Amino acid sequence: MALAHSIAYGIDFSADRLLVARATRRAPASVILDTPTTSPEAREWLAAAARESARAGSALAVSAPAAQTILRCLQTPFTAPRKAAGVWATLLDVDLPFPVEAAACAYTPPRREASGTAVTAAVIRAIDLDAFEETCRESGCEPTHCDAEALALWSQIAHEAPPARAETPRAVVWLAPDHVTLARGRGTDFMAAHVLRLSYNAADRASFEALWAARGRQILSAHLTETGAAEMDIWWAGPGAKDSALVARLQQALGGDLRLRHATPAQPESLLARALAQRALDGSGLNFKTGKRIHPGLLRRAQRKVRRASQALLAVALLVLGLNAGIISHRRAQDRDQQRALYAAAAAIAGPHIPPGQERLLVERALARRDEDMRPFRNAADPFGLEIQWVEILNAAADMDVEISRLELTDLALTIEGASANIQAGEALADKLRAQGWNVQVDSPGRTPEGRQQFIVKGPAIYAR
Amino acid sequence: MRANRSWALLAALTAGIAVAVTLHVGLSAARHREILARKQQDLAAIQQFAGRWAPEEAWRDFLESQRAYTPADLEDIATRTLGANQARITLRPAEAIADGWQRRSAAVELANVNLAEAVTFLSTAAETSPAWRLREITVRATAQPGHGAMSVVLETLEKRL
Repeated sequence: MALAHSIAYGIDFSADRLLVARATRRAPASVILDTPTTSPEAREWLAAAARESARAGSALAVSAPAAQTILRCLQTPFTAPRKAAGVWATLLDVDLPFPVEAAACAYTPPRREASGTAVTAAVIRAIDLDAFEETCRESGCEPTHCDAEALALWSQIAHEAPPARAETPRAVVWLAPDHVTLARGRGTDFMAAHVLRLSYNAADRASFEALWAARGRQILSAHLTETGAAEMDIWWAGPGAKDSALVARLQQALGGDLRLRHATPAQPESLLARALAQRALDGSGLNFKTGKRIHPGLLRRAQRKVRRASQALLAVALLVLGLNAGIISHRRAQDRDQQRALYAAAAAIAGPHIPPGQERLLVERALARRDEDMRPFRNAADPFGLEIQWVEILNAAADMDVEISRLELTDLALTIEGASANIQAGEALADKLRAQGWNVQVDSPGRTPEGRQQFIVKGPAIYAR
Repeated sequence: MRANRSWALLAALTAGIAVAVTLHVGLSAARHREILARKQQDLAAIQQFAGRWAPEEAWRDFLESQRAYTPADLEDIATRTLGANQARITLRPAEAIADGWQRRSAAVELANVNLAEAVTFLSTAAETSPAWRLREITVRATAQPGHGAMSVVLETLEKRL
């Protein structure tokens, strides 16, 4: 569980000194304490740091013993991270001199490569880690993070002195009092680490330098061959790097035939502490202290984070539910108001007891019934009734010299049978009737015995009355 | 740890319900708008219907205000305008209509009547409230010029008292 912190401390116990670097979100890692481990100041600081990490959740990072930490670059053809994660332990188990179940493992974030997925795994035997934790406890230190030394050194050099070219091989040599760590890679990509159990503090300094010359030269030469490069950069750091004469001799021991560019970072002795602090701060480091080994403060912090996230989610969900309840309630109110208005309007026409949704239908039925009931009133009030129309038809017929033999008139239809001097008179009568609102047709069945043109004008009213 | 799990479970459950309710609310929005629009349409249509019989109701109110509850006697009008025994009048059964009123109709047979007198008869019948109004008329010409045989249906209103 990687948790980002606002303050992180990197602790290096090298050379019987307590060297502490602090990193915050606003400032890069810098040394805040460099004192002998046995000093009261060291004890006070460690006690205060333990309280701070328990209370405020600051990170205390140390590095696992380099000599007992194994680093392996693993590759799998799987491209899916979840599938790849399933095989790392198996690959390690083949490669390790002890069962993977008996070890604490930590992995860098997986990298997608052309041939699949790759990670760097850091492994330490559980009993070694237990012993290291016990040592820390005895020193009054209860770290929250336990990182891998070589990876921390490598990433800090990449951070402080980024390579000019991505393919340039480079190496970091960490001169600790009890060992030498050599991390190598290309550009910012870590490739391997070697730990030499050598001590520059040993009485026989010549023997140390000879061993270094043999192993160091062999490793760096192989690295040049592996990377296919002609030259490489070497960064010297660690408590031993303060001794420039020692560093010069060690550089010289590597021989003149290898084309090496040597450099020393600023404050070389605190590179590891700065690296540990920075990696713990931004969560980019590894941590062997996970699962059952997790620091109680870290566990509490993680649990608090989960609880707060759950509470925040709950609050948001309740807010969303509340908003939805408001929307639903508003809709119901709209629907109720609309329904009331509709019911009231419908009930005024169709009477009470109208089922919801039937308003318009029942109103239309009621209208049809009432229309029949109201028709006599409409007829009674009609100023242009059938009487007037009948008289107008009679007048029109007289004007056109039309004899009407039979006339039937209702408010729905009209039929006139008659005779005239010619068919044009019948047509003219029909035109007049059309102008009065009758959709009539003219038929000519023949002539009368007197030779007059017979006609029938017949049709419905254009508008229902 | 257990408390955390309870919080997480509760949060997940509530979030699930919130998502489901939000989906329901979102997906039903169109249906809700549709229902409201339909009700508004129905309401507008019904409100339009509401004033449909204003003229008829005004006429009814006029009759009520004039206390014109009973139509004139058709026999009497026929006698005055056409002469005695010229019209054969058959009153049909009354039909109840709206608001305490009933519809009365009568079939009138005129065997051979002067058309001008027939017009007078009809106009006289239509003069007095509640008027006898012409609903149907059939005229057949007879041998005598200006005369015809007529079958007429008249209709009037009568208040049920």
